[in-house]
Amino acid sequence: MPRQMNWELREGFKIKKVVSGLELPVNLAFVTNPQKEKGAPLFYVTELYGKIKVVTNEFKVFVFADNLLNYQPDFKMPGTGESGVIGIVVHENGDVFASMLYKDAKTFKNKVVKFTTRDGLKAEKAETILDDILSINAAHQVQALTIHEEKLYVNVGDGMINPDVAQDDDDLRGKILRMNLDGSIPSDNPNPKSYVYAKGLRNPFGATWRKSDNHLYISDNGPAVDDRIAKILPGENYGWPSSMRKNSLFVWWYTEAPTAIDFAEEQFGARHKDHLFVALFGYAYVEGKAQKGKKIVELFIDGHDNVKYLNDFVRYLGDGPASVCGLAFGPDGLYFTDLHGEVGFKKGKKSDGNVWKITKT
Amino acid sequence: MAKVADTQENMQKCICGTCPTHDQCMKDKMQGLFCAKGKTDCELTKNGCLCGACPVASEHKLDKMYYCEIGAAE
Repeated sequence: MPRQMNWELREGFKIKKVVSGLELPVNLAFVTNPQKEKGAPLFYVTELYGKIKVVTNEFKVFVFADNLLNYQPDFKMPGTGESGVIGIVVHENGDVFASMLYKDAKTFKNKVVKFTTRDGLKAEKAETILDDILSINAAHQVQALTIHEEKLYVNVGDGMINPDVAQDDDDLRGKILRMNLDGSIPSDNPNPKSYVYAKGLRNPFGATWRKSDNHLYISDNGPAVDDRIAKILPGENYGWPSSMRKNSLFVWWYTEAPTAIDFAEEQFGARHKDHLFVALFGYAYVEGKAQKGKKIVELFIDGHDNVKYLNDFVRYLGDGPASVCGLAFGPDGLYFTDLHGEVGFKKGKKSDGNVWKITKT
Repeated sequence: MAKVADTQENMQKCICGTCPTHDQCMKDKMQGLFCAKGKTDCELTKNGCLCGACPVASEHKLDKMYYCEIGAAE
């Protein structure tokens, strides 16, 4: 595969850095109805330690919301530095939803916040629509958010310490939650008195809706083995903690740490349409080459839920701690974040994370 | 026989020290690399496990968690 800058990518594609200077950029969310003006919002990006940035059509960056954490992150990766502001999604009316951790006395908890804005560049009001879900200040917190047919879907990790909660219908950890956009429980949920849409998940970082079958797909991180991709069905049980394979579509035996996922539409042409692109993050912080992760892979899921691993689509070859974390298809290509960037805070410098764009040549 | 060698190289790769379960007792005794050295003698409170995210574990294809509790990988 040809190398461009510090990335190796498939023949016929090119890569470009479109945003730099971000502090631990995690996930991306594109506006659903982008305006043509240069200064209009194109996408939003969460920064792990407490900010949401908005990027315009001309790739100018503004602070949309900040000071979102009520505790001091400690930069320990892996470990207690892996948590913060992670999930993000934009409603077609411009409202932005984000998932994050907060500290309540000595306890870490999960919450989802809805931000309203007039110009899309600055949040004017923040409303917590879901909170008080126990967590841990490490991985396995509340993560991806998606919106489908006016419902918000929330990936919630099992909180790591007691994985049995993933099977407890009265506990919201280890679940996919489904809620109205005001935070209320939809009357047509599997249990109309519960947010729980699906259970038995461990550390489900990524989520996306597939237009061709109208289903939600997620990535879920296994313990020492069995990372997986799963199609989420209402009321279904995905097995954790007894199994990471139950109702899974695809499993990595040795873990690769799958993070964000998204299906291609027209961006890469018919040959790649409806293929699933998966970010494999790998170790929490490794400079240079690593035994796992640091790449995006391309999968094809057929009509019978058979999965074919097509290729390693892009891979990091540089000496820095960069790895692929957030990923989303925009109007003109595949965008992704590299979390630590190519310098990284362990070198004593401020994080310099980037957003990259891949397009066809 | 232990699967993971108790070497300085592995100790440098070990991430036990950043694990939520690695408590003050373990820090005071400078304990880590439990997959090679064996389980801790500290009173263990499970606060989560990072073994699956550790380079030592993946290099040796370890598939279990909480080596601080179960002892050295075999």
